[in-house]
Amino acid sequence: MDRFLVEQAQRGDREAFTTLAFELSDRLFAVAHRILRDFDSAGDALQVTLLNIWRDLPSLRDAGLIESWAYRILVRACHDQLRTKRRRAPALHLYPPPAVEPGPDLAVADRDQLDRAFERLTADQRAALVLHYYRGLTLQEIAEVVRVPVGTVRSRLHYAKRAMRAAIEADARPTKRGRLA
Amino acid sequence: MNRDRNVEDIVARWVDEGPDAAPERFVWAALDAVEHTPQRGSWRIALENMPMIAKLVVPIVGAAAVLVLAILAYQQFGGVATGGPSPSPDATVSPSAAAGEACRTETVEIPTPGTLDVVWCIPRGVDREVVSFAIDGPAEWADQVYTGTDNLYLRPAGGGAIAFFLSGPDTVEAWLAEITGTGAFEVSEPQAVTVDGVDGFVVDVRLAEGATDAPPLVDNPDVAWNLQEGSAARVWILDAEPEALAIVTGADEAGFTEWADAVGDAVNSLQWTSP
Repeated sequence: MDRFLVEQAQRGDREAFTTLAFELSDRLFAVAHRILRDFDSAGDALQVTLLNIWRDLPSLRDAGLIESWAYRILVRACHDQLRTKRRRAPALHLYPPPAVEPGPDLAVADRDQLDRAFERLTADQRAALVLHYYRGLTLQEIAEVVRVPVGTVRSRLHYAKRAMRAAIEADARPTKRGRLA
Repeated sequence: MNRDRNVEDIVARWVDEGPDAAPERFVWAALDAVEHTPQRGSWRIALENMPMIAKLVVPIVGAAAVLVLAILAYQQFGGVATGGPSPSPDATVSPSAAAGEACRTETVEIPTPGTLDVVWCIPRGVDREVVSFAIDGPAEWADQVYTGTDNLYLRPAGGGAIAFFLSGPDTVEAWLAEITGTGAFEVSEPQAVTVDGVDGFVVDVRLAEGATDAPPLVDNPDVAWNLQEGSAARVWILDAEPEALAIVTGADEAGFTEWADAVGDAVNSLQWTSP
């Protein structure tokens, strides 16, 4: 990330911020979509995040830390989105989400089970899972992003993985009708 | 080990599926809002993020500075009336004035000795949520006040804490299941309670025997409540629509029952008020 660009935006340069926003938004949206599993909610979280980044940018002490700082704001926005989403009835999508090519070797049944297991995770567990497996952040890096002790991240990841493993194993287990028969 | 590796691979592949680019319309919508939004000065953000006690200090220091200037002016000009109000020695400070107008961070006001009048303001994206109540309890219980992400901590002068959390599952049942489901805690039989018309449950929680890697009793992005060996916690989980509210307190085993009962009396006296 261009440090100079961040510093210009910190001084209120809207043009610099526009460039910065486009540089950040793909990664932020991708993470938001994976945490929220909903296209429109991810879009809302991205918008709130970009607005809050702009508003609070002067408080960022080290321009080099813009990305992890942005993830922190995004995780918070996802947290808020999940709360709102749980409270409201499912809304119609205004725009059809783009078709996502499924991975070639992940069974449909696996995917359904994983989707359902993920739905039951808390926002913090989802964030830990996505930042670790999708963004490839270490536990220490996640702890710095969400500002909690490493042990807390480890615990969130542990419970998230346990839920996902249970979902996979439940799917692999033969049913009473004898799936393997 | 192989099984773990396999699960990790499946989860990694699954999480990898999804869009990798943001639709431009979302970015432009945000940038349109940016056009009409001023940046906040770093001093203002720092002030909003300060603990409440520090927020109180800032206006008091300001008032003291005005008073010193007034005294200097009086000495300089020999008491000549120069117009304008004189500083009042009884002037009180309104924490909400220092807290910022937009509820960007959680705020709380505790102005009445003997009764803790709590107005807890929680930002929700561009909206805000206000939890407002009064409980009978000594002012020392709010000796220090901390707020974080969906949590409010009252730190009594004698130690310990009374914490309020909105950061858990949205229903009482789910929250209770989360605490009992880990197996890391020994949880008493939930007792049904009604707090000023709001239903919920109260439980006492201790670390289960042999639990070495217990998760936090209440997880929170800022301050989690970790239960220590030899201590206990009492947790009220209330169905405070639209979210569940947990009130947690704890102490070492020796003084736990007495302390938790005292906090319990205060919780029973709780009255939801209008913010």
